[in-house]
Amino acid sequence: MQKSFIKKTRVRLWMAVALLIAGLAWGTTYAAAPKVKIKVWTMNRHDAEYMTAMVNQFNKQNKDNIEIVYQIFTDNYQQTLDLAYATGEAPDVFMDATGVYEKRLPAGDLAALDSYLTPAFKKRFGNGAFLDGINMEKGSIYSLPAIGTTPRLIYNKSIFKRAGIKSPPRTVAEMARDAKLISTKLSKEGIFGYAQNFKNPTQALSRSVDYIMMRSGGVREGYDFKTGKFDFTGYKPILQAYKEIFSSNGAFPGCESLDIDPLRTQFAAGKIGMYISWTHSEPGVYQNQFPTKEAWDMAPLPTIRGVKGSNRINLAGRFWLMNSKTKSPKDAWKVMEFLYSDSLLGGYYERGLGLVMVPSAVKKAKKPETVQKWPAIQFDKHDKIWPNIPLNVRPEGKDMYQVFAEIIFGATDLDRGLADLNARYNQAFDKAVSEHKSTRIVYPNFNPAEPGKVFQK
Amino acid sequence: MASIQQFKRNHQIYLMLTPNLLIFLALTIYPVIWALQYMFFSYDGINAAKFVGFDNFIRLFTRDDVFWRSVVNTLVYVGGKLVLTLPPAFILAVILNRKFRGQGLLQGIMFSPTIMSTAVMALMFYLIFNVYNGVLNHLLVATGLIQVPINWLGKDLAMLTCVMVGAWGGIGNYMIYFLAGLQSIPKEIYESAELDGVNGFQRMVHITIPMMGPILQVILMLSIIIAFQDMQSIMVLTEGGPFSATQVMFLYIYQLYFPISASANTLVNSDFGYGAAVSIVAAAIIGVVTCVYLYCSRKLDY
Repeated sequence: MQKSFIKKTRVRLWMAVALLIAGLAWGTTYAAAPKVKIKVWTMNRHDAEYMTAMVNQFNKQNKDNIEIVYQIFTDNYQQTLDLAYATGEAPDVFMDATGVYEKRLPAGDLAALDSYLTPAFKKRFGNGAFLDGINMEKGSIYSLPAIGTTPRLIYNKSIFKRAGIKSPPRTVAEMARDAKLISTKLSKEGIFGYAQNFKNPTQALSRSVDYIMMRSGGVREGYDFKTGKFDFTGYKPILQAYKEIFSSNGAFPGCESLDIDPLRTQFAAGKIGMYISWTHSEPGVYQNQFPTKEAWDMAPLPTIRGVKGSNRINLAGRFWLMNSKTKSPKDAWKVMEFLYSDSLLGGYYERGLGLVMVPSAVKKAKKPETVQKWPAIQFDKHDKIWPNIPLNVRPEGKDMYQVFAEIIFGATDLDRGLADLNARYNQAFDKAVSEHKSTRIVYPNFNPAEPGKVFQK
Repeated sequence: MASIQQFKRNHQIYLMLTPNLLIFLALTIYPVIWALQYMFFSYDGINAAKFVGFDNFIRLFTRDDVFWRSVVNTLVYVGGKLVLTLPPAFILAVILNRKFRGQGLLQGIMFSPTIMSTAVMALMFYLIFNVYNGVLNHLLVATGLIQVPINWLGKDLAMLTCVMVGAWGGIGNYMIYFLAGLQSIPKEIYESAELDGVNGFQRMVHITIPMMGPILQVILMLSIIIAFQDMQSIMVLTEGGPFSATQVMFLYIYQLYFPISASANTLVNSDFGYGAAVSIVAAAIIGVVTCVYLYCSRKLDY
């Protein structure tokens, strides 16, 4: 009786111990540590479907207990980033955008990546991937190339054919002539020659007039590298052509209040003959966002009098940046490694979401359908990396794009407007230099056709 | 001694006011002081602030055409919005002050634009007023009222469009204020007037409007101040364009703090110093307009 009681008690004790051990084991296995959240910000919307799927896959499969919190900010990305930095809420990893790198680097907000970059990893990016003034500063690397973009003329082939135009315009004068011709012949059907998203003149003209100027052999955003001064005089023929388009019924009605997406819906509906936009975004837009049956194509940008310069590759050399104030730099780097991986970038390239500039990723990937459909989407011999222009030049009053828009729509006299820009920009530049906020950049032998020569030491 | 006793007597009032006061100080007064300290500086939020004395104000008064254009635009917008908002709001309030079936539902419908997000509302109107594929032009062309689409958001009509959108968003709100005012008028006055054989028009002119005086004064003041501060719908509709045609003071200030630019040089940099100077001048303008209004409308307050 007593023995059986002891036996039973022993069994119960062992069972309790076993349960306790099992419970502890359960606890250690399943009460996992909280995941390290790495905030990633982008301003790209066209690749959202692909990127979200890849991020979800990473979040499920990575063994480093990292969770990427992927957020898309399209409009006001730079301002949102500014606010985030000001309030200590900046993301750990974020996409470069116009002015972001230039602004954040001097402020000490970007982490140098040298300690993470192995020779094998660097080798993937090919020769000439790291350039002083582009992604390097004083010998330290702050970003790596991933995807590049540049503008092209986007045109509706059927409309051109119906208007009797054999090929896309090569000069701005031809562009004005073709726009007028399309409107004259087809405006009764609601079809017009040219459109641009002038609701925000900066958005409209920084992708069109600026690039036409560089391709024509002129200055970049008004800045002349040869003289180290701002000179807007060379824009005159381009603005005259635009003025002609907008004063001769050659343009889509209401362009001055048109945003890029409403413009795209009208292009998708076959109502616009041509406009200028980025190579990385438009194919995705017409495949997913506003699917169209219209036969459209891309062509190199027109010039003033032939290609005497080159098309600047935007985002060349830089894509993702790391916040120097991130609490988990190693984990942030692991996320960057994933964002720059061959598998992610290869898939990106194959789907035609953008022109990937990482040789190791392109080599393994299939040629995207977009390149087959629109050959001009590919970078050609005229697409080049340009040096940066001086920072912190903020003229009083209207900026160059606002003045350009006023000139185009006849609200400001062309010569007076350009003279005013020359005066105000150089005044602001001199002031910024004297206050040590800006540096005068001069390349006496600068050649717009070979802008990369300035990087060769 | 007397004041201590007074404090003791009213300590509950002070206790109840304290949380609100602290939140107000932390979230309103402190940020305003923080922003205004830069009005004598050149400061972009990144480089060190540089003392420039009165240069920001000299620039504002002598070299900034866009700001003075925005002042004129703001006054036009405020005037237009008041004209298009208050009379319809008052008429609606008078109608909805009567008891009838569906009165509550109608009140809710009329008030709904007020609770809608301004950005969503403005985006909706952007699609309605769009020159070429907008619903409004489509309807006007389809009904044969116009032959050629009207450029509602072009430089000639953009301000009128912004005013109409602003009015649409405000009517329901002011209707509720007017309703509150109408319902505060004692019924006995109307009853005795009815006994005297007063008709509807006389009742409106001699009882309703005079009795609404004090609340009308407050509603007018609120509507002026709110109209001065309107900027979200304009930002979505036109971003202050085309060519500054709809640039209003508060949108201009916002753009100085958060510039919209895709330029590679730092045009994207904020201009906190100048923005602060513009803010203080804009506040002074609103203050002057409000004081003038209060002086002119003092007869309403009896």
